[in-house]
Amino acid sequence: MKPEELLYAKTHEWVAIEETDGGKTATIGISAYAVESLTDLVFIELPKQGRTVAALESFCEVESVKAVSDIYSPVAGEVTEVNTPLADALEWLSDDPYGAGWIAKVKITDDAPLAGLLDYDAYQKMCAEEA
Amino acid sequence: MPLRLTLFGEPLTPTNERARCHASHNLVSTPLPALPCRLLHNAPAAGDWNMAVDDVLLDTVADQGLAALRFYRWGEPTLSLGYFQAHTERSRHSSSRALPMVRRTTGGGALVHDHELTYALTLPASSGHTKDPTALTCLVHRALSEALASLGFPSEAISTCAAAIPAADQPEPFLCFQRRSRGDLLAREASSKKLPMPAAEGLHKVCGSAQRRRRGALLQHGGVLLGRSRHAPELLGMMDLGIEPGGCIPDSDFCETLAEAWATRIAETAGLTLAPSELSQAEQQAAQTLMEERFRSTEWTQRR
Repeated sequence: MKPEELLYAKTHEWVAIEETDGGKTATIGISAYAVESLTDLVFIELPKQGRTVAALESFCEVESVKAVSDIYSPVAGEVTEVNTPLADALEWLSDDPYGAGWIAKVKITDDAPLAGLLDYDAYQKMCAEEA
Repeated sequence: MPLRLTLFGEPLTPTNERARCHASHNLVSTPLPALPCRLLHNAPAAGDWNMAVDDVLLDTVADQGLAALRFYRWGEPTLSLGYFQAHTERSRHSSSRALPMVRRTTGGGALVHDHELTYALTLPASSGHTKDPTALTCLVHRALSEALASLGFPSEAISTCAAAIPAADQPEPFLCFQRRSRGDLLAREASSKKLPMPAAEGLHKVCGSAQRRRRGALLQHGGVLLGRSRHAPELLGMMDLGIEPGGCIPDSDFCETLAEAWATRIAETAGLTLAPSELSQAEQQAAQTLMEERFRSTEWTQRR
């Protein structure tokens, strides 16, 4: 996926929306900026398939050398698919954060939170302000 | 009002010598706008309460931007597990097996909290200190080394760890203080001291820290190993290495003095304006709920 075509949460998750069976499914990962600032990831606890998540709810956790960080679902819905091989290949998060490093897919049940997501340019601007 | 430090009636002269902090970390070098920060000195308490309070302070800073620096001790010797450690791992450590156990929300290895001074620092994203976790760890540990130097410990005996040991592809020891991460505070044993537990190159880890990030805010907490515990006899503390000022023992007065000196230096380096504070009633209630529903529950403690 091209980062320019994705949407972003202020908490540094990216979202790709696709139409599926009359609904919408979000593929979710974390941005290259987030991966770089987390540094030296050693463990990830992936969300469970079938879990219902609210928008901005923590649904995944990563551990770097000593820091535990929450990853938030930018959308509300049900986790329909999880990138389980990622747990044993954390390098994918840094090598290919917008491709092989995806975390989970969520079938969206509420469109409202999508309005709060940033486009690529707005997200880049936010990162530049944070740096 | 300047802090007057005394140990057993003798005035101490603060030294300006800084302990070595390896230059690979990008420490804050330019002053940031002063950030108001609450300063809490809490009485010794149970492990589940201590962890609940740290978690509530993280919520407070994430939701309201109110930074806090907290010092505390433990009401009884307690084993705390790192967030991702399996609870069954504690069977690997027989001398702490009888202790109460609590699971932290932060990473890293297990700690036996006994003769220890513990701190927790919560900062908002706007502080500028949350982007580089290792730099913040180094900042706090360097402040500790300066505080120890001001209390008479020889600054040349204290340093920070330059690289993680063992390498990432090797299994890590169960106990945090047997691991080495960049920024850990190390103390060198006196050459004249005959120690029951010598360490590699004579360097003993005396302070380690772990972190939790939440909604851009950060909790960093850690312990200073002051003295050897019978529940982790393989670890020696600051007072066991033959470098402590004469007659110095890790009692409550010493902990209070060290906490004051450490807080002053953290504030200077991190650009914090400290103000004495206590938990609000809402925070106490939130901590009570968290303690009962999470940190005291078997579901939480044995979740892995």
